[in-house]
Amino acid sequence: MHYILLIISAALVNNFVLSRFLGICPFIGVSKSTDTAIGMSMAVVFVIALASLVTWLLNHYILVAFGLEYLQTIVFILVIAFLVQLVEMIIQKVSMPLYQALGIYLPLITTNCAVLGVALLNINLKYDLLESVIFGTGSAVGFGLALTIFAGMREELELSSIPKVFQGTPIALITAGILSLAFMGFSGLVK
Amino acid sequence: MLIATLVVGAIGAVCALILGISLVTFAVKMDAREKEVVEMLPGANCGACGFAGCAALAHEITVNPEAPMACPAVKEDTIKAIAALLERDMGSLEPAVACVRCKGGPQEAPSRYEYVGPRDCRSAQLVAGGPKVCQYGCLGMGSCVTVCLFDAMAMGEDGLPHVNIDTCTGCGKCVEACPRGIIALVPKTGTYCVSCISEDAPKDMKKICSVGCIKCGICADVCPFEAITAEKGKAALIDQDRCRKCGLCTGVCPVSVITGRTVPEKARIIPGACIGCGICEQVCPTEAVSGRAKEPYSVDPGTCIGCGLCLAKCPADAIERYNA
Repeated sequence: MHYILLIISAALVNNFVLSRFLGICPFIGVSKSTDTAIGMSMAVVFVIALASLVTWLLNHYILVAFGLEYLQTIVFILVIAFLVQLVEMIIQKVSMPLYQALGIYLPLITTNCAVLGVALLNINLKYDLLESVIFGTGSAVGFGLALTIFAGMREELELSSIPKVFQGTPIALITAGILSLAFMGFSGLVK
Repeated sequence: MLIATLVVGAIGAVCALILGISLVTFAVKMDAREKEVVEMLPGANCGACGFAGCAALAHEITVNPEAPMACPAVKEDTIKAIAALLERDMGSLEPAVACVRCKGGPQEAPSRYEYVGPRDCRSAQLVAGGPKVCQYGCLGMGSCVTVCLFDAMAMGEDGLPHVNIDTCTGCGKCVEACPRGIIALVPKTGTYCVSCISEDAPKDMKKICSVGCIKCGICADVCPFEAITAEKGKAALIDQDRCRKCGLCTGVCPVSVITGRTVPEKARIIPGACIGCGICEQVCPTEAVSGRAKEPYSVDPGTCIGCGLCLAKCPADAIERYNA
């Protein structure tokens, strides 16, 4: 039950994009069509789950052991970048279809703040290894959910007559705000 | 300080080492030519080839020597350059262009209600099947024009989209965009196209559109190559593989619904090869061939319409077509 609540909390109540405001760049950048949004979401889920696992291990067995917790941010950036590169190479060799499905989105999220955000939050919230991975996956699913919903809305926006000043990113940001309000409705569901 | 430097340095070094090893272990062989092919392709990533963008097509034609050059948007000389680079035979695609198969603008084919939604054919189609009374006609919102990546389409004053044959690459984006399937791809050279796809009975069609195909079937009867099918209850359809671009159909169509652009071609008889059988004289629909039996015949360029009928029937292959 605890783990289910953790997923609901990460995905809906404390949605990464809509209430923590992390990962806004891909949220605006790759939300023009639902196809690319789904591709991006898959890649994010994959990388965040993996990054949660590795950064937790690294933090507990190396940084804490040496008393170097203050280096978390820089080490995590380094490791996440490394991890994405490595995973990309392995996938390309092992599973070409998966590589093509994730496509450009895999290297794109190397520098996504949502990934780093999950890694740091895992430490701050004092989660254990399993909790970290579940929290990471839940957060990424929430990110994907918000991204896909948003992409669907933007596809509809393309067909609407929008005043010229609001066309493009402005209306997208306004829509994101309203979507965020909708997600605020989940607050109080889980602590 | 020292420990911090050492730890971060060590982590970095380990990461670098693993990456270096995996670069060798997980190396995927990439053909260097693939990149060059990508640069030669149009780069519009339109997807007309059936692959997920230009890079995917480049990969396919580089890796698989049997894969056809599926890009309809590249020019002939580019195909040759790619073929030379990959040292393989590319074949060639007959260049295609889009043809809008509707002549009924707002003047000719009226609307049944006033549509005020987004200026998009697909949206308009969703509102009770579209504002136009004719269920097959062009909605005139220009979705095809919007999706064209090559600026080859424009809405004309008649409320219908027009294709610029010179810039159209035949990618087929507009074909997909049209919710009524009005646009078709046809060969670029000497295109003939029935500009109507209505399946309404002629008397019903006449009430709602003044320029549609009346399904009389005269074109099908006159076509020497059996390239036109006029099935009951359907607008005439030209089989572009069989069409020899003679243009006879445009002449006989009572409602002038068959449009076409002919490359001015004429037939001529190769004197040395002609056996003087006279079949050409018999089949010529315009009596342009004349001559005496067992002597070389000749074609009068003034009356020849370049239909190629004589070409098809000549037993000695003694007739050729040339650009007049």
